Amino acid sequence: MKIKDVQIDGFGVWSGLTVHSMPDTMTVFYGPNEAGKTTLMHFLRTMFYGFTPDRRTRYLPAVYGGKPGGAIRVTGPGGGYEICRRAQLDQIGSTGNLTVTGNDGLAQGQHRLAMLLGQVDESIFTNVFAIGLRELQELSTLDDTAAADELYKLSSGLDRVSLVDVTRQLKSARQQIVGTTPDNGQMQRLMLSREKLKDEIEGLIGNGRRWGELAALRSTQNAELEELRQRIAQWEVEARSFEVALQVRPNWTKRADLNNAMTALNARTELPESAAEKLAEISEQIAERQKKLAEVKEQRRLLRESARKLPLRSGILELAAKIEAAAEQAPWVSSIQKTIGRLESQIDSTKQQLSEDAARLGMSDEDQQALLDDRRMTRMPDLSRQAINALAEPASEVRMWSTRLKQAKQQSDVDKKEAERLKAELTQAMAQRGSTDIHAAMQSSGDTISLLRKRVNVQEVLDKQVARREQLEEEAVDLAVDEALPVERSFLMGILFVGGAFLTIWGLGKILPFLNTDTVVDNSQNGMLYVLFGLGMLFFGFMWSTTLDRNTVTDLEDVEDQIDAIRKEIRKTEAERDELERRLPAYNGPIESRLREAEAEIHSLEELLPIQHNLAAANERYQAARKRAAQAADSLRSAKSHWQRTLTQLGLAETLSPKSIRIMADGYESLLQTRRRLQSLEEELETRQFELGAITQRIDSLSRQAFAAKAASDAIAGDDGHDDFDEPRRPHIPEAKVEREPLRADVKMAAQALEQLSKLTSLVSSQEQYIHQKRGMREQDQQIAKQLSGIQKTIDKLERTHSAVLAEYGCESEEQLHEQLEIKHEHEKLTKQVAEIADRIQAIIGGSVPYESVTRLLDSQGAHDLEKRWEAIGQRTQQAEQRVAQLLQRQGELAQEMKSLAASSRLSEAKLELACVENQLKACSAHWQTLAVTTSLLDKVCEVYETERQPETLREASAFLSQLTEGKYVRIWTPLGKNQLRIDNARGQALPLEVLSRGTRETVFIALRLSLAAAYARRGVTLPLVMDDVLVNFDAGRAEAAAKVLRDFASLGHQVIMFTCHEHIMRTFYDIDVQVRVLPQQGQPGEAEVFHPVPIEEQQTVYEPEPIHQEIVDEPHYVAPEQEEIEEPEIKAPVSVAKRAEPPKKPIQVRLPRQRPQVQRIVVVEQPAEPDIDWLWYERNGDRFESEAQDVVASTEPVYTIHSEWVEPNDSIEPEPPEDLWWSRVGSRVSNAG
Amino acid sequence: MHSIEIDLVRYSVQEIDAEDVALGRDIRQLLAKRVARLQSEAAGRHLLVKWRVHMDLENATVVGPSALEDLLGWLRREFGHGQPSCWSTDIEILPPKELPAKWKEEDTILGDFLRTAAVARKEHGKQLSLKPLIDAETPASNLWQTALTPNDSAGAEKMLQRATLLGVDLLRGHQVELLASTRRFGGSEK
Repeated sequence: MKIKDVQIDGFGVWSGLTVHSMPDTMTVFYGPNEAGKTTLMHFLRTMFYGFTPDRRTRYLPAVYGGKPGGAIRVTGPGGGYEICRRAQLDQIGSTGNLTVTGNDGLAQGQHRLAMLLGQVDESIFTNVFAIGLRELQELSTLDDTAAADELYKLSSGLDRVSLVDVTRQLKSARQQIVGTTPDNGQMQRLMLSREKLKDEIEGLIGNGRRWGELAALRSTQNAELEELRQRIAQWEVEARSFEVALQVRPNWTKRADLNNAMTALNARTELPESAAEKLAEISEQIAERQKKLAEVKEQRRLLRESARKLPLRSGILELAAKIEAAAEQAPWVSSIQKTIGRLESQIDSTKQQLSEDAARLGMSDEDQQALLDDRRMTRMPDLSRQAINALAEPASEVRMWSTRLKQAKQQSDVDKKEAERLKAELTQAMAQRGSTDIHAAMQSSGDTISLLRKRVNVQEVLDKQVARREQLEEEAVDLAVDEALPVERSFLMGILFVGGAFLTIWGLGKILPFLNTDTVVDNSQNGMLYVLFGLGMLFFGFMWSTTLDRNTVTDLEDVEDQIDAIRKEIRKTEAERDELERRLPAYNGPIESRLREAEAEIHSLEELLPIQHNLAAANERYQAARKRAAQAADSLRSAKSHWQRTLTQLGLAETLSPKSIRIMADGYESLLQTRRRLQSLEEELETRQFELGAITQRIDSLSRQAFAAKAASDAIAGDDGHDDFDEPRRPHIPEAKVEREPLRADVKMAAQALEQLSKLTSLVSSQEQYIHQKRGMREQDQQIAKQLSGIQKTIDKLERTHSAVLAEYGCESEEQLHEQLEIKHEHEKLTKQVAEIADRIQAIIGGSVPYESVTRLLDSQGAHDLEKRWEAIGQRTQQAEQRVAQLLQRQGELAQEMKSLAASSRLSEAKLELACVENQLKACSAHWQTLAVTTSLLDKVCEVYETERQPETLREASAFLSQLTEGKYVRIWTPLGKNQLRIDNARGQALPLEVLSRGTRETVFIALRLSLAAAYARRGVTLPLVMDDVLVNFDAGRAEAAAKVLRDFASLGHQVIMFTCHEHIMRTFYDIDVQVRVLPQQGQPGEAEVFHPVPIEEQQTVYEPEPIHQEIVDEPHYVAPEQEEIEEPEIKAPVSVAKRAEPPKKPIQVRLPRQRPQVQRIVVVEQPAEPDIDWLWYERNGDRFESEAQDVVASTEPVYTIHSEWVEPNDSIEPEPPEDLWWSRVGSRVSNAG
Repeated sequence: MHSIEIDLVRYSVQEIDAEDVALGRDIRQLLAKRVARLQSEAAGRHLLVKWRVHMDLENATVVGPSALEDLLGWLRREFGHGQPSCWSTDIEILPPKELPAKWKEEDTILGDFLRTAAVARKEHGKQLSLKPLIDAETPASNLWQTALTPNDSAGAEKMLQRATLLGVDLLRGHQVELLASTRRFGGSEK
């Protein structure tokens, strides 16, 4: 891949920079420091590999504005491509929008760019194809060994990274893992830590054993303490017993004496104190029972007297069952009473309705009364169902024909309105077209269309005929020309005639003797042949010409005949066209528009056709509806006459309408129904009244029997007084009627019967109440009898108990019992004294010691030496307490020690830490193994590289080194098995890199890079080699040699792009015919122009010093340019300060001092840019930079014009200009010509 | 009598599918989604997870042991301290059976390295001997020999796979940490 053009729209300090038509070989870009060379180099990297975050930060947005990004045009496999990459400032992580466009205009993407780059990523590009000033400067800062290593790296594998670097990194990492000292060995540190942890864990396990021993000792001491405490407690109890026994010993003796006195009394203590009281109580109860017995006997006598006086009637009780049965009929009687009332009210309302229905039917009062009296309705018309059915058929006929007549009228009205509407619509549409008949209008339009189409066809035919006529006329002209002056044919004919004549004359010359005397015989035969051949040619030419002339004439005549014929046809067609024009109506527009209008007219008429059809259909429907209405009217008349005849036959008036008949029939039915209902209500009322009469008769009979029985009983009992149950007033019921026929009772009789029934029920209830009272008195009498018997038995029992009590106490009488009770009281008094003494003893003993132990001590034989035994026990107790105190103190010490041992969780922590360390060691081991295996694999890769690639690389680098050093150093090589480089000089001495000078080491560096680039090129990866001021440390001779090497390297097909800020290096390349481009000023759109020196003579003649500059020249030292020249913005946007009448095309000129400068002037020249005729991808409207050089320098100074963009704007006000720009090579002169 | 709460922690081994990774999805997003799913399933319990991750070699920035440490550190930082937490015990980077053919075909040192590694994998690492390096770089003692020699052939193959990935990282120019990281086992970062 080779770069042809560069366009920077906005990148760093560049905005609108263009580089056109870069050569395929080598290009040197020249510009001062900070001119933007490195920016341009990074722009190329950006175009290839995108906007990385670093480059975004550094170069975006562009300092002088412009759309971020740009484009380059490259050539590569498959032709030329434009690589364009744009960036959006807000898309931080994006590498920019890439488009790769081929020559064919097809847009391609990243894959094409990757193909062009030969799959080389940015790391390889940076390491191999970019030789920067930075690397050279770094190489200069290294010591000899490091520099040698750096150079060896280049020969031992380098693409993305250095193989040597990777191997060294791995080795360093391994050493840091397995270093032998804790400071630099990760595993060593971990092992030490592991050992420490193991020791600590061992110690912590020993602490665990100590805790166990202490726990056992504490358990033993606890047992001893428990035993001592039990003994002390036991001894304390014994000492307390002795002390208490000594205190209670006097009372103990006194109680023994009292017990002896009680034994002497021999009292009967079993006699109860209540024995005497018990005997007195029994005697009192006996007297009380006897008194109560007399009172109960008097109460029984009074009760019997009351029972005998109760008024009971046996006759009424015998009728009680019947009366109760009759009482059960009372709800039924009430129900019948209510039913009768309801029926009577319904009969009244029904009679009223019947009267109203009759009145509505027009019946007279007499008929109404007869109707109420249930007489037949003889004078009513016959409106039975049969009569109604006979009238139904004529009535339905009348109704049906009436409906049909009405429908026919409605239909005829609707159709008439529709027909009128359609007719109006059609009439309006036709009136607009000026016609009355739609079919005639359509016929007229159709004729017009056919005439127009025929007119169009005639016109087309006419055009064709005219064209044909013109064609024939052209053919006629051609034929006439051919006939008059046939150039080609005349030429051919001429050749034939000339040839024929020549051969004939030549043959005659051979034949005739006066022309050739020497060879008559020999030439006569040849001469004849020539003559014959020449005559033949003349004849053939004559015949051919004649034939062609005849053919041409014939063709011309034919064409003229055709022209005549076509003219006749044209006239005929024109006549036909005129005829058609005449037949067509007058119209100013073209025929096509007329045709379109006519077609639109007929289309609109066709749209009216459905309306015409609808109108005809509506008229037909209207006529049919009128016909149906007439037929319906006839049928209606016949149906009405049939109806009148039927009415006459049924005896009805002829004027009755079916509606009035229907109303009459409905009233007749209603009247009959009301009458039937009245009859059924009267029958039901009668039935109920008979039922009620039967019941009232039975109640009355029962009432008579009951009061007769009551009167008989009163007579027997002698009671003639009246009470509430006297005989009531009976209803008036005829005796004969009661006995012979059923009685129809009314509501009033029912009420009386219910009243009788109520009195009978009350009479029976009073008798039942008397019976109940008598039964209660009888039960009371029986209870009083039982009470008398019980009181008598109680008196007997109490007398027997009195005797039994005396016998129980062994006394014959109550006096003897009183003496025994006195002895018992004396014994109880002594017992009380003994108890008081015992209480005192008990109080002294209390709960401190057991009573039995005191009893044992006082009742034993050794009661007299209690004091001595008490003192011995006290001494033993004191000794035991001292031992307990000692043990408790020891226990505290043990507990504290055990607590401190148990509180430490360090053992588990240490075990956990040990496990972690073990795992860390395993991880380190695994990682070391990984690093070691990686190293082993890389060693194999290194072997492959050293055996297969390095020799080739070194051989090629040797050749480059020899050329770069002009044969002083001839070979780069490496000793077998050693990571070192050796350099052989011309005398065959092998020198290590360390002894070489800095410049020579850089030469080796460049040679190795060139060989690497060449190695990639052999692999098919050809990328531009970008070099940034790599010859800065070379002397003039070596720089020139290096320049030639780079030029030759480029001529082998490697594009080399070099940036330099040194003028002598630039001119070195320029002198060996390498194209030099001068970078324009930053921030201004411009082009990196090709550098061309300006002849000195021309400069001297062209640029005359002006007075204004003379003053500056006279200044002895550097003076800043004049204010108006420096501070004006023209520094950035150059302005012509002087214009020539005929400006030469020399855009950039620089005047350099011949001697050390005293005055420097920058001549700022603006020239319009060249039109971009070879840069087709960019649309740039730059002005043309013409070389209107304006010299504003001192007259004695050599004048150079440079592009204003060579120098930064700030450079003009700096105290000293850049050294390499201003006073390198004093007196030399460089000028640029556009 | 006292109560002891049970079922407080769930253990799990999770594998991040090679297909998902190959589809260009971000490995961290996949891990985050899986953690969210596990926490949802565990219903508030703490989680202890071991990850087995297939790396997308062509798209991942770093593929070797450093990738493991980065991922593990990220997982513990992001999910290991919440309530409930999901503590990642370890990550195992599962290398693919075949390395990207594009890399192997490169005419570069990386290509040479991958071709050499492929040969070594076919021979199950039999030609690779660490004894010279152990003898040269460590004190000559059985302790070091035992510690630094692979235990078995399976371990040697895993080591070869890790070495291949590490070499890929180094030869692609990535900045990787070459010291053994022991953070997983309580060690410091260095």
